[in-house]
Amino acid sequence: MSDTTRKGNTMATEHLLEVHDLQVEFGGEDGPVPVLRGVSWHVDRGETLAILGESGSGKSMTAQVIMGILEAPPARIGGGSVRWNGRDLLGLPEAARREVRGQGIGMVFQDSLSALNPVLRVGPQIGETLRTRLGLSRGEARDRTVELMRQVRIPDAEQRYRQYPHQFSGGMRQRAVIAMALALSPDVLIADEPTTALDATVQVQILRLLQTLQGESGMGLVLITHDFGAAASIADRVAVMYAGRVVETGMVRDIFRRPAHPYTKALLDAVPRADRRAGQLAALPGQPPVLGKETSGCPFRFRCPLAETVCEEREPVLSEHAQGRWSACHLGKDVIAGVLTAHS
Amino acid sequence: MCSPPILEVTDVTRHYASGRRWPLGSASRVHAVDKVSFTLGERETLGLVGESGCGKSTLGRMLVALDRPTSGTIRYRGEDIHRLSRAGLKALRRKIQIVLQDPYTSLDPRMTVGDIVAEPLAVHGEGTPAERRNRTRELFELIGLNPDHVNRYPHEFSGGQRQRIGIARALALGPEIVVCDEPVSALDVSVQAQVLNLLADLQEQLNLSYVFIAHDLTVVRQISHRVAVMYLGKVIEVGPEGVVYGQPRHPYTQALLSSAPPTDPDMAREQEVIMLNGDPPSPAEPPSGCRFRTRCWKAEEVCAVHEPALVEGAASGHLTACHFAPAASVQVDG
Ligand SMILES: Nc1ncnc2c1ncn2[C@@H]1O[C@H](COP(=O)(O)OP(=O)(O)OP(=O)(O)O)[C@@H](O)[C@H]1O
Ligand SMILES: Nc1ncnc2c1ncn2[C@@H]1O[C@H](COP(=O)(O)OP(=O)(O)O)[C@@H](O)[C@H]1O
Ligand code: SF4
Ligand code: SF4
Ligand SMILES: [Mg+2]
Ligand SMILES: [Mg+2]
Repeated sequence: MSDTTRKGNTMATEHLLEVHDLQVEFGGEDGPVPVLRGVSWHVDRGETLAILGESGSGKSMTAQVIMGILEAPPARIGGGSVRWNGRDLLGLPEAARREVRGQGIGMVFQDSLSALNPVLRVGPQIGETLRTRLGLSRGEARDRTVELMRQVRIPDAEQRYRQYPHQFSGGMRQRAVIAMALALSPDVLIADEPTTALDATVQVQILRLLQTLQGESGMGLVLITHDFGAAASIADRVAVMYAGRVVETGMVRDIFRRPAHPYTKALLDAVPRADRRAGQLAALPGQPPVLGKETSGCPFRFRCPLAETVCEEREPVLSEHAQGRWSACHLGKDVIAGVLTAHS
Repeated sequence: MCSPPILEVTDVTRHYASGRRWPLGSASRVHAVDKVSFTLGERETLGLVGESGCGKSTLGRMLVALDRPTSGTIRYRGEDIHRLSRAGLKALRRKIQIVLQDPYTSLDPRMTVGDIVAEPLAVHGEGTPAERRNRTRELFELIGLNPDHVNRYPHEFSGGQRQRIGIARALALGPEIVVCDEPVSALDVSVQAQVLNLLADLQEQLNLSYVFIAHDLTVVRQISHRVAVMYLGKVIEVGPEGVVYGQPRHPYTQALLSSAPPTDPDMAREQEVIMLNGDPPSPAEPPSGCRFRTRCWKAEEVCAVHEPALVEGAASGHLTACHFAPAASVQVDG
């Protein structure tokens, strides 16, 4: 990957990976159902971006568009762009996309168990892309694979190379899947809930591993997660999604201490804690939205304690309410100022 | 809790002939639950926490007599629930109910939600159909669903709503004990908080006792009065919520707690994480002696030979199964 030259300060700098105003819809019986309604975020080299948000908010969908694996139809990309090292990926022919997949951007999927073929030995599965994509010989691919397996801290890599997936524990399988995603040395790794299926003590191991790998290679890491603690431990920046949009983005410390969107605030308040027991949790009323229902105004207004008339009239756009504090809320400034914190 | 326990679990063991998940070791016996003892008081919530496969669901099923222990006893108000007559068992079902994890598969998709909730009433011949309909509407109100929706089907409800329907069904017969097996694990955080609050409210209103099973430590702390930590089929530490979380004595509990990062970024980064080696071993081949020894950083020779007993430490009601548990409790910040 050629190092893209950074442009001067006169122009917006080129990000390692940038998603801009991405729109995706599905053809439904009653017309198209929008699932991504203008998603924008970016990640830079050596940086970790955590994407948070409830089920169905569009986190995985965004990743599928970036990887070029969205099934279309039924899905349709309605607009927006994905730029990687300055190249617009959505306009590229499939052959060029395939090149970027793996070598430019690696991905660990939400359902990683299905990423391994149960009847094939683990090592050769990891090494396969080395042979097909880089043209390495069998022996070269084997050596490189064992090295990769060591890199993701799989003990006894040589023996493990010859074992089948069922001989691996959940945590070890996840390490193998990460090794597979890193095989072609991508400069961005997207990890979609890489630890959700794992036990707590193993989750930490995998999170730390991702953090270490990122530190070693300087790649950009996009961590899609439901876990606020995980985001708090390793993210530099955060993007919070709601109903197919990013509703807040910024530095992790800013957002987790003083959110700029009532939804972020509500989620943070709803997380139970290990260090003390709350009387009642501050539960957000209502349900996450059902996409495709035509609504006006702010999609969060049905659950929002601050909703006002303006929230019915206009849908707020992601805007900067204070230095580096972006949120899609008409009252973003008040939220940052803590108008919402009184009751907690 | 000072009143006599409503539920008394003594040395309950459940072995399965062969491991479902380990087809290779066909002759092995899965020690799903091994000599587990605890009590549950009236209006008390006992949290059962542990990693997947440690035996929580197996234990939960035995508590509601859906499965039999290989050995050991479970007494409800003094009576061994696995020695009941048919009639006795039927009466027991009114008193002990279970709510299952998956709100997507635990409800019959072909039944209306009203019928799902009313089914236990019908099975037990409770009231006339009209009375049952009324009771169902009451239950819907109790758990915060619109009673006009009784004729809808499960797929028309969200995950959180389906979990409420499962809870309503469990409450239909007016039980005293509800075993909740991972009732919020499949839910998003905002909805999870609603359901946890609902369960706490219902406990107050209906004087319920809960056995609350989950793998998420923070969720368990939020709802429980006492907590039992399980590892590979064993309870390795049990005690009042504040003590187990504040002064954990078992190395595994300490590791588990250290791996739940707080949501404050600086605190999360400063938290000292105890990294365990590898994953939990298979319950088909539990290690000799202390089952935790293969991942324990404090393990010594004795740990491979002698199994540590669950014994009380300095604080009353706080039991730990470790040869090297500190005599005094270790204070963890907070
Ligand atoms: N084939 C499809 N047809 C219609 N809608 C779809 C289809 N696939 C996904 N969707 C919808 O797109 C939205 C975004 O889905 P996505 O998988 O990105 O959610 P997510 O944020 O990753 O959620 P989770 O946290 O549950 O993984 C959801 O509302 C989902 O129901
Ligand atoms: N019917 C069964 N037959 C054989 N093994 C079982 C059966 N049910 C559970 N097990 C095994 O018993 C152990 C405990 O399982 P379970 O109680 O479901 O754990 P948990 O609920 O804590 O995740 C696991 O190893 C599981 O595979
Ligand atoms: S725009 Fe209005 S309804 Fe939407 S989050 Fe802000 S205050 Fe709430
Ligand atoms: S008995 Fe030994 S192996 Fe088991 S927890 Fe205690 S120190 Fe660790
Ligand atoms: Mg997803
Ligand atoms: Mg279970």
